[in-house]
Amino acid sequence: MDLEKTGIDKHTSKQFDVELEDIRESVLTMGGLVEQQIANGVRALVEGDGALGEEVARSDYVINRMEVEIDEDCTRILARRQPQAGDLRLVLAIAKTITDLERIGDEAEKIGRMAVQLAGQERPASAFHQIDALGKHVRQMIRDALDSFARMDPETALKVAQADIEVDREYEGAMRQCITFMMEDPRTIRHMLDVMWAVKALERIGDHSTNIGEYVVYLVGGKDVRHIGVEEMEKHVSQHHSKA
Amino acid sequence: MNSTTQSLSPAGATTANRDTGQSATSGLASTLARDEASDRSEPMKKSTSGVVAKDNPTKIAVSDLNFHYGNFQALKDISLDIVDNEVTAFIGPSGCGKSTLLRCFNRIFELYPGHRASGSIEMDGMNLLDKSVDLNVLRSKIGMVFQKPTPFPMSIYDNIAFGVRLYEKLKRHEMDARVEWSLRKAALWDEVKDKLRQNGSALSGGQQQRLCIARAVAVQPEVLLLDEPASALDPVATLKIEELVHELREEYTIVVVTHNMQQAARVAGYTAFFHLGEVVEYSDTDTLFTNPREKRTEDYITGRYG
Repeated sequence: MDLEKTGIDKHTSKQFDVELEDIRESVLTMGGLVEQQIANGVRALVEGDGALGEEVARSDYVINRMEVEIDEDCTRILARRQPQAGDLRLVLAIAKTITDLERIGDEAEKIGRMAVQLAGQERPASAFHQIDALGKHVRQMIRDALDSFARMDPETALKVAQADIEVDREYEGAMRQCITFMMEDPRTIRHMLDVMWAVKALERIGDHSTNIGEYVVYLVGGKDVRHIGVEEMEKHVSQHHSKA
Repeated sequence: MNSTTQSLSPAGATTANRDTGQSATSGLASTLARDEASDRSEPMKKSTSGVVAKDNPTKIAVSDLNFHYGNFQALKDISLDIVDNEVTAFIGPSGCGKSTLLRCFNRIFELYPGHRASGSIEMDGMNLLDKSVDLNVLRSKIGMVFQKPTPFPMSIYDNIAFGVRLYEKLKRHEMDARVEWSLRKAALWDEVKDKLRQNGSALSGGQQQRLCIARAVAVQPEVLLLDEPASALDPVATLKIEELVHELREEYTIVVVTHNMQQAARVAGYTAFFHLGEVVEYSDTDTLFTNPREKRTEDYITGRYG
């Protein structure tokens, strides 16, 4: 990764450069793991692969451990370096990002457990088509969120927030379909409830990815764009772009 | 060089950065409008804890100030407003002009030949640089404390009373009261009340510095200039001085020059960053330390200078 582009280098203290780069890389590593967990969870669910679902549920501890470690690193940097301005925003953004990543990990674990429960059962294929599509979309969202973090690029972060609107719509559609199945054949209710949990988990992953994108906008431009809606966020990002 | 020609005023942040101020304001306005629409009309507050920048009127207005040490120009077209009853910090690398500007406020530079200032420093309608302004009057209004504690070689009591006698004729009990009041203001009274007749230089460094602050406060000035007031002190004494500055800010306009950026961040409502004789950025401390406008400021406060 080109250090210069991220702008976290060039401290008089080279050791400080190294410390910041270390936590930044750890976040990306953690993000990679989380993304893999989602991919595996969704595949286990769609393909009815109970063993893979089991593995996803079991692996969440690695992500939890990383969250704790990175959090400790952030605390140490705050205590020993007293970062200012952009450095301060980087550390704060990282501390928040890892919380959302950890939550995404939990959602992936949930999906894994649902995959285990649903593995042996008879399955209406159409419901899983939608999960597959939804899964692909949220994976793209988290990938974009991490990418925007890696390149400190608010435009990609904005793309994540925009994608979340589409994902929310798909989520509504998937929910409606589940309800239709249940009404048509009440014997599927138990089964469908599990599917709904998984769909809900995917929708939440989209929300967490959006949060990460918002931290990136804050990190780069110093503007807090949480809770202001996508249009306002678009304005801030385009303002930043015209300044740069 | 836009930033040097326009007068920098932190109080109305919009005037300080006219270029960006416009869009920022409209952004905030629409943000607020949006909040109301969603029925969460919580007003946007700048900050809810710590030192909040006061929106007070201007106490000292510096405009087009140039300063020369002989042939060397130390300050270039400085224009900035110091806010009343507030702490303003000047930060910047050595030789950036921050102490020079501080020394202009009470014309202490006049002690040296070849030092000259042009432009104006206005306080309460008078130009402090004007020769017709009496130095004694000026220095009774603007007190100064230096980097190294400078107690006079006399008793603690007389250290305080010395300056007061220059300006006022007080009865003995009035002077006693004034000495106690000043020492209390400087958070030193409890430590020295039983040894007022002892020599001031027998006190510890931190106590000596607080004695100097008490001495400056004793003549009841309007403005206090602190030039690196805590740089020779240990961390505990430093925090005591900072606490004192925080309390004094209710009644005095305080300008503090410091190399310790965390100190500026802790005590000041507004901070100005100086570099090579210019004010690079001047804004409320929260903004300067979390989201500075200028790259040079960011580089300096994040330790990328030089």
